[in-house]
Amino acid sequence: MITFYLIIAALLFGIGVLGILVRRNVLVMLMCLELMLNAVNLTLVAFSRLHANLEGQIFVLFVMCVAAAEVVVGLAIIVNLFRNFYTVDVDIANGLKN
Amino acid sequence: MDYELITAFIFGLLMLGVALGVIVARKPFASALFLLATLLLMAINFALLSADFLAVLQIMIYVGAIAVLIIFMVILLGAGNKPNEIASSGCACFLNISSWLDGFFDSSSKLEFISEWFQRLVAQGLISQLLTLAFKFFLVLLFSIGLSALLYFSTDWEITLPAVERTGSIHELGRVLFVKYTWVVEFIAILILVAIVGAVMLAHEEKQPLLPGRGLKAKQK
Repeated sequence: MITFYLIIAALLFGIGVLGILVRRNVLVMLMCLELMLNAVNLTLVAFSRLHANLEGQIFVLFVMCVAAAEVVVGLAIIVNLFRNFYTVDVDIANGLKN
Repeated sequence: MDYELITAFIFGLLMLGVALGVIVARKPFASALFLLATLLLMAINFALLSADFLAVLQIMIYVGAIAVLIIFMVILLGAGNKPNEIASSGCACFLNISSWLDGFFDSSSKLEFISEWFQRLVAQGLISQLLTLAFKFFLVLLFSIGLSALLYFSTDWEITLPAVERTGSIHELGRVLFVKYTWVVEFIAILILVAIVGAVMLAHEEKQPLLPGRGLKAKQK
């Protein structure tokens, strides 16, 4: 079962990376970031179950806190982006590119 | 029959499918709903891995706060009703190929079209570029598949679980959290405080001071 969950977590992380690379909507990219964090959480919980060690679950707690803070700040940045560019498309907001 | 494994299979594969929906869905609102379903299924998977408290916490924090916040933002920014988002995304190359195919099937004399297209490609030296690109892509594909196969076959995947009685109980979790990781909890508290202040600073819209003599018109600008 642990093996299955590790494979599932790896695939979930891959889906998150693919979404960040493919989609150009900032909100969807943020969601894919959440997917990747959740995949790592699943790995940590699976290993915590495997080794009968609670520290993995503690790390999941910390990851959850950091994810909450990151989402709040990210959404504030997206609100600012939308105010300045009237879009959430990252291809249009390329002011730092050149 | 190993019911534990069957349940894990069902919920794990369901979670993967729903997570694919996050990146496939065209509207951001649908993506957000798929994300919510993914987080709920993740809570179920946590419970299956005997991490009960984390399952509850997953529902409270992720589903109750983060997913709702993201859905709220999708609604607020009105990004859901923009139909041409997909055209500017990475799927645009597929759309271009399909439109090219449409032109191909619509053209009256297909052979002429092909020869003209081929001549244009040769004239621009695109064929060699395409070939080298395909070669590079093939090399990268071969390398990644080989690396995955090497990792897969060189790893001992057979795992025997020790007999564990309820590792996720909240008593033991709290003991580890507040005895061994006390300082980390304090740092997390500082981090969240900084995040709150930063979010307020970022989302705060500074009011333009009212110019004297202009009145309402200056304010509207």
